Amino acid sequence: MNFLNPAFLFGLSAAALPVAIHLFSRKKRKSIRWAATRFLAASVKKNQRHLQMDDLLLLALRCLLFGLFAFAFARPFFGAPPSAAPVSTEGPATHVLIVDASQSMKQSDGIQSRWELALTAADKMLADLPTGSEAALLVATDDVKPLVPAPTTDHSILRKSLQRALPTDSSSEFSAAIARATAILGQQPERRGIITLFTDNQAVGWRKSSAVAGIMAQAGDRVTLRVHPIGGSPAPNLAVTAVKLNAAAAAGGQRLDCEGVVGNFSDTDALDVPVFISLDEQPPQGQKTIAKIAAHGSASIAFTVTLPADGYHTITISVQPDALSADDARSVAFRVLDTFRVLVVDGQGAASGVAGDSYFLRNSLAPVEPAALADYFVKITAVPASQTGTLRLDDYHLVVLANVPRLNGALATDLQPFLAGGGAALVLAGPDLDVADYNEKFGPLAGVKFGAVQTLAKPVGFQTKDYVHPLVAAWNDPAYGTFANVRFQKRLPMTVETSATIRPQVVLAYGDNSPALVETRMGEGRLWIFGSTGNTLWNNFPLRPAFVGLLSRMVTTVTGGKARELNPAVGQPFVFPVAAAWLNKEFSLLKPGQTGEPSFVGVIERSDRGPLLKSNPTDAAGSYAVFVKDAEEKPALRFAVQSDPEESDLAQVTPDRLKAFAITGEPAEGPADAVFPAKKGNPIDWFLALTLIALLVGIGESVFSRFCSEAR
Amino acid sequence: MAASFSSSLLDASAISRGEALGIMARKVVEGYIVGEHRSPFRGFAIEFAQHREYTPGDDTRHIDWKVLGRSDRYYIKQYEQDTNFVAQLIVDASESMDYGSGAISKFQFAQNLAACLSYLILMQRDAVALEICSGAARSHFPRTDNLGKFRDLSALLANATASGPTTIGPALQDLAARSRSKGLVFVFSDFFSDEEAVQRGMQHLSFTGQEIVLFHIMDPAEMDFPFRGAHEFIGLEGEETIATSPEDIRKSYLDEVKNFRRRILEICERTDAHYVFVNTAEPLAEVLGAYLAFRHRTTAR
Repeated sequence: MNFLNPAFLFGLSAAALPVAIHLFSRKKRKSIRWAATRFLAASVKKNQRHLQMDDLLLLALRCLLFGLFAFAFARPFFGAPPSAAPVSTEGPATHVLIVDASQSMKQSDGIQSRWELALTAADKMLADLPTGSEAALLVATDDVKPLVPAPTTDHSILRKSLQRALPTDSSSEFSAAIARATAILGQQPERRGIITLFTDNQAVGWRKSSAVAGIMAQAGDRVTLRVHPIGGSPAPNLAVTAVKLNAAAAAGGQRLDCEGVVGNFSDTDALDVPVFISLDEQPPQGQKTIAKIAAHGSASIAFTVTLPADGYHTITISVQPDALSADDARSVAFRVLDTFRVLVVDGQGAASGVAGDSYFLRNSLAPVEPAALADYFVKITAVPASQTGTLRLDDYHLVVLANVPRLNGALATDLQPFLAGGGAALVLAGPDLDVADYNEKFGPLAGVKFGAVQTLAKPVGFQTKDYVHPLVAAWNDPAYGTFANVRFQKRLPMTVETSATIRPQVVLAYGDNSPALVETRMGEGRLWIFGSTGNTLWNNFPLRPAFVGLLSRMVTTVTGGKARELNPAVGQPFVFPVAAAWLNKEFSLLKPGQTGEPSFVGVIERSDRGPLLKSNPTDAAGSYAVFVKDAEEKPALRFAVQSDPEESDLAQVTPDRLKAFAITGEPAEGPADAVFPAKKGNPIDWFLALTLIALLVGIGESVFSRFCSEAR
Repeated sequence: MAASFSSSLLDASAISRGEALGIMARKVVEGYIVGEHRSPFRGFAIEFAQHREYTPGDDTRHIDWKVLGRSDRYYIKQYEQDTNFVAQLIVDASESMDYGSGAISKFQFAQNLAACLSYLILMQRDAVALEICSGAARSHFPRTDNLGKFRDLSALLANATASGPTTIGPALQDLAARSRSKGLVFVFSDFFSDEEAVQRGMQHLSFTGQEIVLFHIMDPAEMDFPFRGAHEFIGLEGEETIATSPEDIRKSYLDEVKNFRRRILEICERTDAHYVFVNTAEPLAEVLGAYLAFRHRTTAR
């Protein structure tokens, strides 16, 4: 809270006046020798209690009265201090021009985009500004980018800066830009301030309308917000709002299921919508048609692509260009592994055949004919538990311990660093597993402790619904398969122990709700612990299709671990840990739609996470290629920047919505220079309100005082 | 008390005050009886004065049987009082009587009133006795029907000072114990004392056949409580000092005073006493005149 006339706060001391008068009058009592004291004593005794109460209440009311008046005259208000200087409605003003640079401004009528119209309108306004008028220039998305942050009278600089501005694929939200504009205007409190926002008035941009109203209220009368609507009604828009990579292993030469979601942001159904898929910005390698997308609805379409060789790639799903082409394609980046190396440590030895602990595991991880194993991307190394002494865990992506009695050799020493470094491990229980040894060496690491072997009189299955964990969430869809036909005769019961640093999650539970499969994240890596065998000794799970599916999801999870880092949102930088060999190497980027030589960005620097490649904040959605100097791979990396799907909804804000936050007018259809006065939340409101309250208190005091007098 | 009385007699100013009081009393009384030429204390005494028609409630002993025999009508015989009439005057000289918001205190008013009545009674050749109660001490002027003693009586009255607590109740009881013949008892007090004791004393007096006239003297400030602003009231009879804002308690105070007057009036009604309320703001002549006129009215039937 601030005060327009803080000096009046000294008047708060006037609240002490009634107290002082009270104390002074006590000192200045007139003495009288009095005969009829007996009546006096009786009266005082009779009235003392309520007299004291009344007096205290009156005293409080009088203090409050003085305090309120002082407070009112101090002119309190919330937020930034408005100008105390008289505001002139004539003469030069300070302008802040805000141009909406969100993705929706790329909407075009075939001749000009709304962005170009906005630039033209802003340029015309700058040209028409009276001499002496100052102006600043901002570009608004869901953030704010100042082009000319300080008001200047040099209009040519403003116009040049305006011409150099580019639209982005960011979402729109104007509160940050308007707040910045009021802050700029607040530096010149003696001048009028006019904020002019050039926008297509997309409803998304006004999602924080109450915040805008609050900002303008704080700015006071002196600052006016004008919304200059650009373009007319929005055109129908189709957009790819999501691309999902569904399961399947992301390995070179393998087939990958993916799904595109297409949204129809118009009032009519979209019929026979062709959808295309392409890899690494190459020409489309597939096309499908969605028969119908309901108005304001969306539809999904699935593709299967054959993955290219080892490395980082992007898949792009697109629809035919429309008025807003920027959202007609969406890419996702992912990593393809040439080989996925799995180390299977078999408690009984890999050669034990069907009865072996890892027979089903090995066959499920590589579900191909023996002749095709050599070409299959999953390369399995199976060793008996007794030969783990010379193993290097870092050579593998996944380590499976199937009924391994004890954690000896490399398993005891290297497992934790392997997991922390991004590796994955799957531990399967079995009759040979030394529970005490695991609980001692593994329990603190995994947050899971085994109990004694349980033989179940009545076999139990897995949970049959409500699969929450991402690893098994796909099974919520019955089409994906089922865990319902799995039965367990024996198991090692597990107790999950969560601590501040270790937070195990139950992936799958038995039918009796006890944990069956638990996942513990350690750094970049994951550890899965399964409470039963990987063969048919204790259960029939390996015989069920879901066994293969679950292992496949685990492999995909390991390979796709960095999906989030590879797919940042527009406006975010691309930050990615890279190989040590790339430290201090220069890197450059090829942006979406950019041809020719990539643009130099910077140098890979050391960080807490090792060598880190970090780009500038991104401004365009789509597939990016990263080139690292002297690297073998061309490009070395690919990543895809994701735009906000909400930005594809071009619906404009309704006048009612604007009225709701006190900005009135007809922005969409209104005149080109519609003025939306700021909400009046200025100090005079508080002054009047406080004065009114003070008057009410004064009236109350008078009435109460009179009432007390009459009562006495 | 005797010593102080003697000394006060020798005190020139006291004598002067006494003379002034006597002269004032004479002036008031003589002014009143001009044209009357009859005792205002007319009642059922010795010397026949007139007949009047019997009305229910009259004492049948006073019916004139001869007139009844002659005219077959009931008449009551009325007599002039004679000098065996004794008026006992009791003046409260407690410290509370010393209060006066105006030019005159309650005690001064009581002094003047008592002096006037004494003179009036002596003028009729009736007898007067005076007792001034000041706390436990009492000054007594013995019964006299000698007008020449009026000077001494008024000197005693004039030289008395108000001090000590109000002891009017016990004084009335003592008087009742001493009374041997019927007569009039005039009590001058504010009655700021034990009301029970006052009632007992008056009952006792009433039982002995005394006709009691009670002059309840109060100052106008005591009745109106006109003070404004913070005040500190110091009790005249040693009560606790009370600091208050008079406006805040005026209503309650006035209720207390009203109730007090009602209680004193009830005591009078219970003891067949005549209650005369005296506001010291009113002129003495008016008060005395009003009382005597009332008495004349009630005894002239």
